Amino acid sequence: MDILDMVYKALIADAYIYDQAFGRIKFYEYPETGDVDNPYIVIDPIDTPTPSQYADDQWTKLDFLLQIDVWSRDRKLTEEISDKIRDVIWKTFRFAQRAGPKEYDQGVFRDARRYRGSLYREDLNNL
Amino acid sequence: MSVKIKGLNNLLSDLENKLGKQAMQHISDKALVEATDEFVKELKREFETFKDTGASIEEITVKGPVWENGSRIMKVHWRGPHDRYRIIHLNEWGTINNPNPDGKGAIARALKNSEKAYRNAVKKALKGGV
Repeated sequence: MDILDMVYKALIADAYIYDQAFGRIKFYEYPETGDVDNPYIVIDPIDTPTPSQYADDQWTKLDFLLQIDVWSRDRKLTEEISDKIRDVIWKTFRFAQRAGPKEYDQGVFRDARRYRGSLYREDLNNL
Repeated sequence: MSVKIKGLNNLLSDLENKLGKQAMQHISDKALVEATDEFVKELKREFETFKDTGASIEEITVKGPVWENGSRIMKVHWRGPHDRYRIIHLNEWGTINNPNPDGKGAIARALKNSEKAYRNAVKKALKGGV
């Protein structure tokens, strides 16, 4: 289990996001502008998870930094999905959002945001 | 696009009561400058990994400390003949046409990875000054 999977599962567990973007939630890969008929969500880890907070010479937390883009042909929908993602991420992981640029190009609206936060090691089944 | 680095408000105001305003500002400014150096070092290292002509590294400019909205801050921004300040945010975030530029997120990574060095530099400068 890694953070990308965890975020993916948290996102599709939300009914609204599931309805809007199921099957179009990608890791790393961005759609071609011509392919954006329905909303796309792209999750991109900006940095490798870094160990943080130490106890007894052991790190206890991992610090994550993700970028999540929402692409669609509808300005309001793009924002609505982005806001929903922000809420889900906060509720599930307590990762704080940092706003990024909103962009419009060739009929596609894009809302990019970053999320930063850390999780206790126990939460990751990789020990 | 610019990066703003703020001081450590509570600690600094406590020290200010003890030492007086001017002496304290002198010390905290020094701390800010030295800590920002650490961040810039990390930022340059991060930009080295995808450099082409090196203009984005060359144009990294540090300004400050200055007052802004009631706190002392340092500004790290891009200034120079190659006008990188116009495009640096495109590279930082990607665009619809080029969603994955080399070095995407470099500034965010540098900020994240220099946090510890930043804090240590502040600590050192404050210790040295007090």
